[in-house]
Amino acid sequence: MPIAVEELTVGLELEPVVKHMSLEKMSRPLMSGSNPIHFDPEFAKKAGLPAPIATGVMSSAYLCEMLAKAFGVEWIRGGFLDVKFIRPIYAGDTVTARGRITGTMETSTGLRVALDVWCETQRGEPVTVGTASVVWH
Amino acid sequence: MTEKKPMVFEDVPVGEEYEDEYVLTPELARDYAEGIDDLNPWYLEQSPFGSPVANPMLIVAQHARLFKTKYSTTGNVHTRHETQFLNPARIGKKIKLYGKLVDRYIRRGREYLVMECRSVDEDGVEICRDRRTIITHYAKRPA
Repeated sequence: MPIAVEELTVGLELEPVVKHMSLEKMSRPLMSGSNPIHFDPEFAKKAGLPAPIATGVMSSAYLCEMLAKAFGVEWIRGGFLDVKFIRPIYAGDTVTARGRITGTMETSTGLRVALDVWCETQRGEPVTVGTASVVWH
Repeated sequence: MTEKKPMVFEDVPVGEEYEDEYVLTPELARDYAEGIDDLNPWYLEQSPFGSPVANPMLIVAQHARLFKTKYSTTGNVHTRHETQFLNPARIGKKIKLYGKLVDRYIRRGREYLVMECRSVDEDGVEICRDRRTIITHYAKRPA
């Protein structure tokens, strides 16, 4: 169920989404784009990485899942997401997608909601960071 | 199949344009849903828009196809995307992708390429606009 409009207040944290990064999922052609840096340990090692890394957009997908749960159709037809992939996500990591409302503003088309969004691993490190916004019509 | 030339940073011109298309099949939607563990029925069975729609990030992820229309991109790493979702993408539609390289720079030894992309369905409905930044290789350039 999307959040009720009266609950959209600054500081509200969205319900997080937690995912386990398996090499099996990272290796799927649709996830990896057949790029060996995402599934081949030897290729990753030659690139200077200890293990294959997940595509950044997998973490964006987890943020998107969290935002679609919170904002429903408004997210699908008008969400904005700006994220940077600042650290690698390795096979075997557990990733948690989080979001916090940072501002709300009445506009001519509805209530615009701004958020900080990020993904972190079980090591407590942020790996994907950015902002999102959506207009609640 | 035509062999693509390897992507060489200096040889990718700013202003170069890319196009591709694919059909948003139920199989593609399910494969993506299973890959990211998000089996929301909106993406697989029925949505508030009527028929099922694609996970919005599936559409964004497909923009990675654009460089591949001209280059072998083994080893690229995505570093940022700025994405505006505009309309739901309905399963079964053909999706056309358009991209243009808008910037190219080296920072802290890494080669960055910035592409502006958009996805439009067969009826002309714009699904999303996306500005994506990649590095050509994770490893830094030799000093």
